[in-house]
Amino acid sequence: MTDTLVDSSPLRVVEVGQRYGRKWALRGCSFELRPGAVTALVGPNGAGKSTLMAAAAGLLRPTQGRIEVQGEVVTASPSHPDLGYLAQDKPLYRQYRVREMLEIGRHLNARWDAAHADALVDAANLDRDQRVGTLSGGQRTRLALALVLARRPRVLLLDEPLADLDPLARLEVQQTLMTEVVDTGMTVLMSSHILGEIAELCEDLLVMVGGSITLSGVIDTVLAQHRVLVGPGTGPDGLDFLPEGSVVEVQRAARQTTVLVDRPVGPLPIGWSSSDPTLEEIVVAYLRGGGQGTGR
Amino acid sequence: MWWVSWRQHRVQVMIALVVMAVVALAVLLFQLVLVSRLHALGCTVLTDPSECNSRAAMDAFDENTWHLLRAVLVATPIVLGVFLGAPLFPREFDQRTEVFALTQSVGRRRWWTVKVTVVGAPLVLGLLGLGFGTQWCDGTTWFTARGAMDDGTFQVRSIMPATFGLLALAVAVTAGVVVRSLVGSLVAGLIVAAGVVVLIAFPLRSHLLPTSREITPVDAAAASPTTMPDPVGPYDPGSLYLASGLLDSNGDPISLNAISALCDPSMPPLPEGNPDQQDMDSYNDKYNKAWTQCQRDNGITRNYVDYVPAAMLWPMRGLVTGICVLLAALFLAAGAFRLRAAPRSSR
Repeated sequence: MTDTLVDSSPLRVVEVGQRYGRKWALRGCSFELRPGAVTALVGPNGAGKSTLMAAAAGLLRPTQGRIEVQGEVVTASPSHPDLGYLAQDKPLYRQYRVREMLEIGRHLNARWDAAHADALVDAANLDRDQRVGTLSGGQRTRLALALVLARRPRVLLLDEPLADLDPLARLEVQQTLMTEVVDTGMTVLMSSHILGEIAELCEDLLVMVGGSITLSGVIDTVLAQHRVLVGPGTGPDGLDFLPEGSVVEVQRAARQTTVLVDRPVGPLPIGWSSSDPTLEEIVVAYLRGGGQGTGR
Repeated sequence: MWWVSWRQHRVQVMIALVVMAVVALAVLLFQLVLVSRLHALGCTVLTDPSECNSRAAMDAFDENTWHLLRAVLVATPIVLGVFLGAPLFPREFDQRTEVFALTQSVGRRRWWTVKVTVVGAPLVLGLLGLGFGTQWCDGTTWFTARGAMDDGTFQVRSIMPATFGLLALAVAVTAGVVVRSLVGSLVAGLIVAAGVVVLIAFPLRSHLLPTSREITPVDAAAASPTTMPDPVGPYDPGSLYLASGLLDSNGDPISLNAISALCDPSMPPLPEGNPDQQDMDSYNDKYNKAWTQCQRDNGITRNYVDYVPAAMLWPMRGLVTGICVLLAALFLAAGAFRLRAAPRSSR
């Protein structure tokens, strides 16, 4: 996840654009994932997160640019053998039983770890004779996750995997996921709306707004680089002391100005103070349309 | 992939095969009843038109049921093709399971090919069985064996049901990919498939091969001012009848209205007053003679019958099959191309 491309990136997105009619869902989208890292992809609804993941999974053919998985350019299906994709609504054949879904997974994949799938299903306490359509949201997510993980992917794309899950189910899925990441060292890209979830699970961050990446970096670095500056109420001229291009967001009240900047700032004028922002403050500022930044 | 597709569509395939078996059974039962009735009348040789052609034998042939069965046989390939083809992809789109399938180790082309083959192969094989079974049944009596090129017979024998079933399937599969809703694709598939198949199977086929024309002298005794001559002549009764009538002095077909326009002025006037039967018989005799004379005077002395000879049965089957297979391939290619586009359900 850097501006400097490296050959070892498990997933690399290069200037990808995706157009639906006249509207661009993705435009000039570039980033790459660090091997073995869990990366959060954050953005408002309609930012293009699902489109990006679908394109990486081979479900869409990008209008512009290219996506590489393990160094190979993604084509329109079949999915790269090293890539696993879990769509947001976890589409499964609802009329079949859990046992049959596992069998379907085995038949549809060249690489299939049946023992691992069984272990994940057992860990989720899923009844193999229960029809998929009657499973709860959490159970269905865990079955879908078992089907993805049994492919033994090296890159895992999860499109809002924890959405619509109750807290207990969310915790269980998180545990399954993190165990898998630790055991296999796989690279994960996970889209999410829940900022608390990101802090718990992810090491790297991508913020997507309007189909483009506006912030990317290692979360600790992002936190270390950004600063919140608070000073007296002032007009635009009152921020001349800040380096050009460093301002992410400015919030003005009658007597106070709050500025988020993306780099350390030298000595502050009298009346100004500096503090560490929270991840939520940074992400929200970028989601509101703040500047372009990287953290490494 | 084969196992998964079979697992997904086996119920529909089984239902289609059962329907074909029921239709085949109905054809067989009809024939068994007919044969039994003819045997009861003392007929022994049933396949020779010169044998067993009494009025009682004719009455043993239940024409209404025969026509009903022909209609069912014509409709079966279209209905089953649509029944199997239309839901093939809309169900996947509806549950978004195409996202699941296409993110496994299965490419779009393979997914498409296997699904179409899993329903298409049993349909075609079953309809081949139905077509050749119908042909065999029809051949057991001369009543049912005749008219191999006639409408309602040509379409239901030999390879033709399989041909039409394949085309209907292809149309319905593509309708499913384009329309993407189950009900919509069933309705659109049925309308388009029925239209295309009926167009090719009925009116179009008679224009595919060169026609033959038999010309015979007008039978003076049969000439009538009110009807055209029957389409009888030396042509093979197994041929496909297209048209018949009278030829003018230039050898061109002439309509009854055109003959009336020529001859009406020279026809004798109706008897005046209150003519009795004898007067009318005399008038009719004069009228017919005058009509025949008028035809002769105007050079209308020949009948014609246009037809496709019986020997052209297999060339016609081959041509119709070729057109249907080509159209099916085009429809399937269009559907496969449409499937390559972005799934609408992806956000």
